[in-house]
Amino acid sequence: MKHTGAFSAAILFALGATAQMAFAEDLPPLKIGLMLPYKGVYAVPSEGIDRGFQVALAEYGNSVAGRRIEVVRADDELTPNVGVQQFNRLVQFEKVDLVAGVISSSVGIAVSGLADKASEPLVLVNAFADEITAKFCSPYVARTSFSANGFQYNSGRYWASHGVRSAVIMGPDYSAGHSFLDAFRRGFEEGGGKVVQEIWTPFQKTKDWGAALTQASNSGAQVIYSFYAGAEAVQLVKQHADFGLREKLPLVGDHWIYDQLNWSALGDLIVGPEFITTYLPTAKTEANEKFVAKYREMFKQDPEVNAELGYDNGKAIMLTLEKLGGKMPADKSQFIATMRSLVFDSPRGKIRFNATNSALLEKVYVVKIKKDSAGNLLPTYVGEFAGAEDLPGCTKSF
Amino acid sequence: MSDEVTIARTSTTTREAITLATEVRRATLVLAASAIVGALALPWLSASYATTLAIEIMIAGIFASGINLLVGATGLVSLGQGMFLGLGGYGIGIGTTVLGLPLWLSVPGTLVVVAIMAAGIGAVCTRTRGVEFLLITLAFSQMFFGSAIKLRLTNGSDGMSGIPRPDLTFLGLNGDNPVVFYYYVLVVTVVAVAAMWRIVESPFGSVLAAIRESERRASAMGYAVSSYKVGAFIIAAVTCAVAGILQSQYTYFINPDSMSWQLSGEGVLMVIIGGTTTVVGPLVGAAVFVLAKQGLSILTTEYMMFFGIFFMLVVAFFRNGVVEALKSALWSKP
Amino acid sequence: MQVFLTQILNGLQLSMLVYLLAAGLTLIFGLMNILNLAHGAFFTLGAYCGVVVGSLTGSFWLALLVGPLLPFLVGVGLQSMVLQPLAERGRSTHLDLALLTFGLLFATAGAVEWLFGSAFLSIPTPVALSGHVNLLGISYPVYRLFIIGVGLAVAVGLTFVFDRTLLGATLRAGVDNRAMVTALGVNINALFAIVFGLGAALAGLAGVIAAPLTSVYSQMGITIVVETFVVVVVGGLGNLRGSFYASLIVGMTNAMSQAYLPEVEMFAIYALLIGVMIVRPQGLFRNVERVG
Repeated sequence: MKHTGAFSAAILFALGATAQMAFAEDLPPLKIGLMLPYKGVYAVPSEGIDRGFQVALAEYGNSVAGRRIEVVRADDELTPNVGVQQFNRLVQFEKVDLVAGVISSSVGIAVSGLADKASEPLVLVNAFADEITAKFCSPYVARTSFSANGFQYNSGRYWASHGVRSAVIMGPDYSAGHSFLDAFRRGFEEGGGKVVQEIWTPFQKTKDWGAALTQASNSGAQVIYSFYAGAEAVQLVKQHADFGLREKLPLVGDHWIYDQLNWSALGDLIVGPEFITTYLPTAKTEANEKFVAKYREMFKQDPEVNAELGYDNGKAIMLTLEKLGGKMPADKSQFIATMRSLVFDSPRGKIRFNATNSALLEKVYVVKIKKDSAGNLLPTYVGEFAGAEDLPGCTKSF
Repeated sequence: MSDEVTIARTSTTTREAITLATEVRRATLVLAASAIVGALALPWLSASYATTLAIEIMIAGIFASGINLLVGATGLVSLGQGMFLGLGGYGIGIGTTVLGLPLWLSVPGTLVVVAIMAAGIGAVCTRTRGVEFLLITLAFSQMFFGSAIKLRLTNGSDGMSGIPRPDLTFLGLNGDNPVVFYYYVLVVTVVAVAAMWRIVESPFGSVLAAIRESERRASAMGYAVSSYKVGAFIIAAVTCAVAGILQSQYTYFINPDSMSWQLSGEGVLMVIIGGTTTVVGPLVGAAVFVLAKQGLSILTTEYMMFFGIFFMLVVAFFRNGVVEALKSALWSKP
Repeated sequence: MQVFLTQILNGLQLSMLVYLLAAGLTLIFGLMNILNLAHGAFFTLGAYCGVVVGSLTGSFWLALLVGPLLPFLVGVGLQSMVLQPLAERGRSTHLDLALLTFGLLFATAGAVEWLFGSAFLSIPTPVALSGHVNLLGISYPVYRLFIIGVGLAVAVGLTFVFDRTLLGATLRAGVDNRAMVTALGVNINALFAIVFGLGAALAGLAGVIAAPLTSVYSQMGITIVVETFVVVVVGGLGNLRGSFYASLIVGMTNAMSQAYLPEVEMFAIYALLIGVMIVRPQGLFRNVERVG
């Protein structure tokens, strides 16, 4: 009689603990496969994207509707064959609920074909080639960044209307290179400019831009307009300066040619050139300030465009999971369809998706890096223009 | 007195030897039978990932078998067989996506074109031997690799996508289904290995073996050594092309990386691992290689370093292959 | 005209870089008949060694001096402790040794990636060699001229050693007739080891020199090794002068095709190699040192 209280308490406690365990067993973790080229030419941007992705998940405490989120990483080695193998491993062996990531458009094309056939959701972080959401569109594939046309078309129009009459195009000879620079060309020529020459270098296999730069300087153009990323970008900028072309033939590019993660390798070369970027770390919006604060807290450094792209990818996934109550639908295309209906504020502006699951770009900034008296490198605003629509080409309806 | 004991002891050991031989034969039969049953039942026995791995192993096994005809049967080590794998894949890539031909036309067409090209390339390469042969096959492979990257026809370094799997609707089956594809690849593998076995056991194969042992002797016996070498080259090329066709159907695309010399090196490694003396050796080598690569990528991110070390160890210590090493381990049982 | 002139210089610079690698390789191949696919690994090792020295001391010149030392030691060690014993034991044929070095090439690339990561590293161009000069109406980077200079200096130096010293004479004899040289009492193993080491050191030197230009990354040895073999075969195995001329041919072919015929860029030198192997497998250039 005396110990009934304690006894009942003990039983209640035991019941509660068992209920808790049973409850926990009902909710296995949600597994997300994150596939990035962690080794090789794009290793540095990959790490940036990974960090941004982590920030997005951390905002939700790495869980959704009581379920823990587990990230399984895979390296696609920037090679479509390996991307396919790793996709299969993530989906069949690791049993992930969805696959995110993918930088290279070539890998993106291969893996989105596989995702479509295997009916598994794929949320691309980069993979900008227009065909991915046009010719190769799929109800199982979404892209949280933007298309090449969306980014570069109005860039062409901008430069044409800001005093650039002729340009020589230089880029890596693969899907993303062509997509970006073709989009620029269209916008530039429609804006009245003239592309005098196109120079394509073998992707990932070029170490020496001597011949390309020589040809460019001989073309009579006013500027070189280019897209390169990772290590290739560093080489090009340095060799461009080596050949004495910084004044004679400026190298105009984007936030990958002048990637913030490469600034230490470029030294003073970063001060002066104008380039386009989708992300301004100093933007005074609520979404951005929250992102920057969390990023600084987690990584003790400032975010840049790669981190921002990773963040958008993670955020879109988390918002979708939240909307679905933490449960993956039996028909996985419903996951993508739910993502498509999202509209949210991201550090880069407002993100919304079009009918082919491709995110649209609200605006693009033109910036220039200045060095202040303390030696800090500051991106300064020069201008801006709107992101463009995607190219048509999707023949499926979903 | 001692003679009788010796005779008695000898006959005992002979009896033991005969029993051992029958036991080994029985064991091999049981092994082979279980392998066959296992292969047939795999998709139902286990998770889908095992099926995926098995498909990769079989395709790699066909590739390695082709290499083995040159390396093991004829003694010509080539670092360029990747070019034929790539040519197979690009062949049906061009046939189906560019020319719009159905598969039942593209596949034989590709194999015929590969055979003709192999005849030409083989005629050039077989004029050299040993280390020079290695280099010239490497050079040809790099040439094709460079062309694949540069040509607009092959879509450059992006490669060609949208390659179709066989249309099995007349059987009421969907080629996109991994299980169906598994059986398709299994059938092709069995046919390829059986064909390879017939070739090696045939008079043609014996001449190849003679060439491997001593070219001069074979030539002195009156055989047109170069024609035989070119013949082996063509058969090896077509086999590797078959693997390339399966590979591009498996992933729905083909790109220049399939022609890299690193891939050719991986193929040679599979042959060395599995052992060059048997027809199933290359398949065993392919299995070990694919599984090791999987295991490595789970355990570590430094795949390349371990691949290199593994390669060196196999060449230095298991030169005759894992199959041989196992056989001698089993034989020394008593 | 400007493009042509610049490309001549670019071609020269490419040639000299590949010559540093080919010179060592042709001696190794000619002397020991080993297809050392791992030669690219020495290129990589030298470059990374240079990066470490460069970042510790801030001096490019120190990196240049110290960088080739590690490849030299590794080369001597590899030859005397691994390749020679394997060859002597009869366990491995020349083909096996070639395959062994193939594995070593990838193992080194992997090891370097493990230790240093995937980011592209660099050695800062020394101030004395930065910037560009105006010559013949074009603007050309000083550093690339430096590369050309180093290559020519090494070529002259090697030819001197080869033609006019005892070591060179022994080497030439060894290429011609190994048994005879051993019979004459020369410690052939020590000779082999030193030559291997020197070849490796030259490759390492090339790595340090290339670093400010093309950056340092784990796969750098793999990509350059096939080109080096083209040069060695076209020039003739063991033919030092031949590999100099062959490097010029290969470097110029690359530079000119990049500028004028980009479609054949990755095709041309292999077509050249195949042509040479069919028509004149002993190499395009006669080994003048061979008597009789």
